[in-house]
Amino acid sequence: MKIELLYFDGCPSWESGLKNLQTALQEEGLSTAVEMVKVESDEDAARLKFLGSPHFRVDGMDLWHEERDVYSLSCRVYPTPNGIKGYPTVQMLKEKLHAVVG
Amino acid sequence: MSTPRFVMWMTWALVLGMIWTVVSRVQPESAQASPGSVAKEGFTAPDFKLGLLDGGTVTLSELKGKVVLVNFWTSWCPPCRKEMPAIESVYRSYKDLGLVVIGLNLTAQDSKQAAASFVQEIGVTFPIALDLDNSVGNLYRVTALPTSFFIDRKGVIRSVIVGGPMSEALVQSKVEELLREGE
Repeated sequence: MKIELLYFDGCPSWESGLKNLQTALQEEGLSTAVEMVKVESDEDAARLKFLGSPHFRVDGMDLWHEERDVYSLSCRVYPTPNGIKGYPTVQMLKEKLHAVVG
Repeated sequence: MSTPRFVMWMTWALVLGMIWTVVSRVQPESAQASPGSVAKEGFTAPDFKLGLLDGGTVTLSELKGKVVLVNFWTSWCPPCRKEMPAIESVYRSYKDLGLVVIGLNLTAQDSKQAAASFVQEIGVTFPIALDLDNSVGNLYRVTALPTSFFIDRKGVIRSVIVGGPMSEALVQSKVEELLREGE
């Protein structure tokens, strides 16, 4: 299983996103390493179909998929039980991982 | 008055006081989707009322007849910061022709102080609305910052730009197109 975290240095929330992803993986008993993919330009964003930092992918599938006309450097936000946040909660990530991994 | 009766009266007074506190609390802002309003292109923009950084409030539905750009942002979001001067420039050029810009700060993810400091640094003159509880961000289903909604004079969302930074030329072309429709 390939787990990627696409991020843009400017949005500080990717660090919390990574922490929560690692916790979710640990709690799910998954030892897969997270591959960090740095997105540095709008060209990178378009090529990678980057949805904003932090962006989570498992085996090439977006955990929170969205169709966009234009892909650019942006900060992703997630609707969490505590309102909009710059990163998903551990529980949200676990549910998505469950859905993907089974 | 006997002690049990006194306790009963005091309990009732306390309960009524609590009810009054809840019922009479001030609603500083509101956001609601009326029938037919969805935060998508081609739909009526969901209405909201928010407090402004400089005081006062803004209500989207009261801006019908104007072209409105609602720009969701936070001070920690680099592309948001980068596109703000372009938005300000377009605002200054077109405000007298009927353009209203609302800089909608997701304050629950930011801070009022940081927002105010950034606005001052850039010299933003358009109103900055404070979404203190994410209600408008949720209503508009914002998934990335910045996100901009271009709303026509009838209150219909005509264009949504997710991500940024938008160039001044892009903002200008979108605004001009909508302003021309009212001529």
